[in-house]
Amino acid sequence: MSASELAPADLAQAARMAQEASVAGRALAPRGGNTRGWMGRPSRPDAVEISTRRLSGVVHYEPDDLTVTVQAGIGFHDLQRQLGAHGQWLPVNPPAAAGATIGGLLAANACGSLRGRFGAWRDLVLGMSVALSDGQVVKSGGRVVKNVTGYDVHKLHVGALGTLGLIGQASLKILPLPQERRIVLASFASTADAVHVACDIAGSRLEPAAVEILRGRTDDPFGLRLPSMRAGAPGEWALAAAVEAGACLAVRFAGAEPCCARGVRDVRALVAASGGAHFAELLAADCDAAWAALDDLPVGAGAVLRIAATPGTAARLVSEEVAGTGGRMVADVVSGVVHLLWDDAVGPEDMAGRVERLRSGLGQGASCVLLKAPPQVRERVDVWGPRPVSYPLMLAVKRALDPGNVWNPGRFVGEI
Amino acid sequence: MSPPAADRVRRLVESLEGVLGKRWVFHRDEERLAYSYDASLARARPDVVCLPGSTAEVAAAVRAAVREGLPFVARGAGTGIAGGSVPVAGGLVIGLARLNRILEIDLADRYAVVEPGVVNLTLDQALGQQGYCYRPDPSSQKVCTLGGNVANNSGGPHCLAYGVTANHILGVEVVLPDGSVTELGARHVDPLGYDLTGVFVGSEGTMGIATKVVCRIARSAEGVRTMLASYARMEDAAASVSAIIAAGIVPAALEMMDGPIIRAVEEFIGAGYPVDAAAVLLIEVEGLGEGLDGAVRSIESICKARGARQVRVADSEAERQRLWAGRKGALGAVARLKPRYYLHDGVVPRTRLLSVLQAIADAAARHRLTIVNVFHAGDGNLHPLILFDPADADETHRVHVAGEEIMRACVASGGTLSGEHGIGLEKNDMMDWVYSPEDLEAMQRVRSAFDPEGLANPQKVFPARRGCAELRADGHGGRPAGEMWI
Repeated sequence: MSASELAPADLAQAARMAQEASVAGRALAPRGGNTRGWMGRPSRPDAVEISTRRLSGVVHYEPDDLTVTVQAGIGFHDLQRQLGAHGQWLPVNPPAAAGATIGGLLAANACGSLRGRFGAWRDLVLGMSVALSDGQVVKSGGRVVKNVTGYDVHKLHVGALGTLGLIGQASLKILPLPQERRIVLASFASTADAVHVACDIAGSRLEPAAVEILRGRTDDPFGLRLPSMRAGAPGEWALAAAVEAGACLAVRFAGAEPCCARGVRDVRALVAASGGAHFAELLAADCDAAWAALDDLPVGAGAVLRIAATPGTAARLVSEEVAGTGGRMVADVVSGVVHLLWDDAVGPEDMAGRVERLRSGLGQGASCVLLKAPPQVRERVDVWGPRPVSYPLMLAVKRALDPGNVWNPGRFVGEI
Repeated sequence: MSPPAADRVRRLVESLEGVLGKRWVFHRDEERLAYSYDASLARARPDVVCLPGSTAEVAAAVRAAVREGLPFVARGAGTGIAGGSVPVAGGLVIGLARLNRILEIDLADRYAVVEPGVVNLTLDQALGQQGYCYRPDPSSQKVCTLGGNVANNSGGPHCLAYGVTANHILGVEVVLPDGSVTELGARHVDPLGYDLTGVFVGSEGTMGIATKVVCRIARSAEGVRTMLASYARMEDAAASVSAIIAAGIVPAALEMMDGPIIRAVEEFIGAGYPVDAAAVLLIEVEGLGEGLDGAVRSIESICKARGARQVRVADSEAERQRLWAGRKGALGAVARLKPRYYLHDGVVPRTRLLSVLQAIADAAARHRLTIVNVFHAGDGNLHPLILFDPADADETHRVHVAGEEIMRACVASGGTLSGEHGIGLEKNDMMDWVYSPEDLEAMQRVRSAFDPEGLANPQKVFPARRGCAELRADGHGGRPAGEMWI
């Protein structure tokens, strides 16, 4: 803990701290598990961290309501464990969730590839309490699953990177744990073939939990070693090998056992018909390990560019292997979110150039955010990219909710 | 000094006629009357009505109104039951009926771009031909517009599994209250910056007018099974709802209707509901064929264990449609029971369904009223209908008192004022039951970022002094109950 860190015991105290900062012209930087310090523009050097570590409880949990209200500082895995004890879960799979808090993940809008099936944070958050810089604690929404009582101000805080206030408490939609989970992996010599099959699955009625394409060029690009496959698969078999061959398709199913089995069967047929090189179905223990490993892939490199586009645009990007950009790739073709992962071998000048080229190629059709990058790259290129057309409204919202510019100034889009 | 109101209105008419042509501008008494109400009990006449034919004309109309300092109110199909489109402060009503084109359907990218006047079901049917669908399905979907759905963040029976309108809107083109046009969101997920789309959806026309809507579309399910469970006791039906959810089953829809509704529906529509039942549950499961039998069996055994007399599974598409026709036409049927009803839209945590239904029954007994229930049970979204005759002043008074008590019971149980119909004029003075003055002030600040002058649909959503409001329960020109949906 740094000497200057604030750690309010409750949200009212956090709001008072914010008001004091506002009066004194100081900046505050909300801090959860500090797992995503690499996101956004740099913090103002004088910003004081304000931690949610003392706000880490479950406020309200009635399992049969299928909702839960938590303080922002609760650990993601801690919450999942508590829900799991009642046969329930929060159906999101953010990468690098170890040590992350719910508040931090909300602020970062860190979802995963399950979002196409189960929704993103904006779909799962039912209400929030937030500390504002005028000293008030305000809430919006509630803890019921349908609610049009007042504005959904809480949605503004999702992905705002703490620039509008300190998220102190959130109510979330949860679900029963799926009866069964399965992962199918298939490798293809050509990325285009993998994309073709992936799009067929994403556009099918199979209701997959996630459909991802993984591509890499080095040995064991993702560091995944997954032994023991179902009989018929070639003995010891590593996902890494599949990826190295060209591209790997990872399809996940979550639901009733017969539905998962049907999904696996249909995917197998699609892969076979399109000349996939290997096919493997992960079972039980392997499935759990692989599931977690897949979740973490999107941010597993020193530099990560995150592209959000329409599913069709995303598929095209992957097919064309994002010409000239190199690196590894993890693409969710259901939601249209592509992560490009670059290692340290790519120099800052080169990396900045690749980002600019991609942005100019994609234009208004996608957002292209440098999620994570060495400082030398961040200096050369705006991590967020060009301001959206509604930027003046965003600025107006910031000024309306944080007139003293206390909360994380400068870190967000357009230096908000 | 501000010129007299009549001058401002006259100048507004002139400038609108200059832009839209005389054909699309209305200011005669009978024309204003036609736009003075929606499906709520609220009535108030606008000064002027216009029907623009393009985004540019909407923007010009907004500019013309604000130049004269007059408020403007966007209007879709007028099916709202909270008074959201009633121009309570006068000014200009901007009807969006002419903006009714589906501009784009992109199956590979899984979105559709529509104008705000497109009817919900029209989009769903256009998609259905290609094996896709638009998920939110308000019961008024045959007539309500997507622009209105955006304004109210509308729900519908299938929101249980798929979420409400906000979960299916990727972006909107908006005419802001200063008459400028901007785009919120995108055609893809995670647009850069604050989620302005997320806060705009459900803002009831107080932040501007959506002139294009980007809707997320989905593959329609491979298979569907619809069943009807009937009960001799309402509490057994409510217990079944909780038990189904608790068992880890989230059906696509889980609707409840009580005895009086069942009988009214049977007389009116003939949906095949058992007329001697105290309650029925209409339950639908969707998905891969492989999973449906198991889901149906589980639900059937849960319902029977909780006292269901009979669980019937629709064995044909025609029977399924008939079961749904009863549900979606339920409000029309209620018109047969009493001349009018007052409909509430409270939401409660699902585990509180039974106790709040009891509180509703108690309120009915205490105030000598008939209250019937048809609602989205799986979501905990209640729709108690308090029946009355507006000619009976004492009864009308008791309706309001009982309504308040019911809403208080919803809030006290951890629920809220509205699940899918909005706050509008009906419930704005109840907002402080749920929110503190500080909460409401923060919302007002967000609103002022969009609408600093407060001319976009004023006096809605937030507690307001109803000075010039002309609220009557028996308004002339008001719609019969049979034209409402929930």
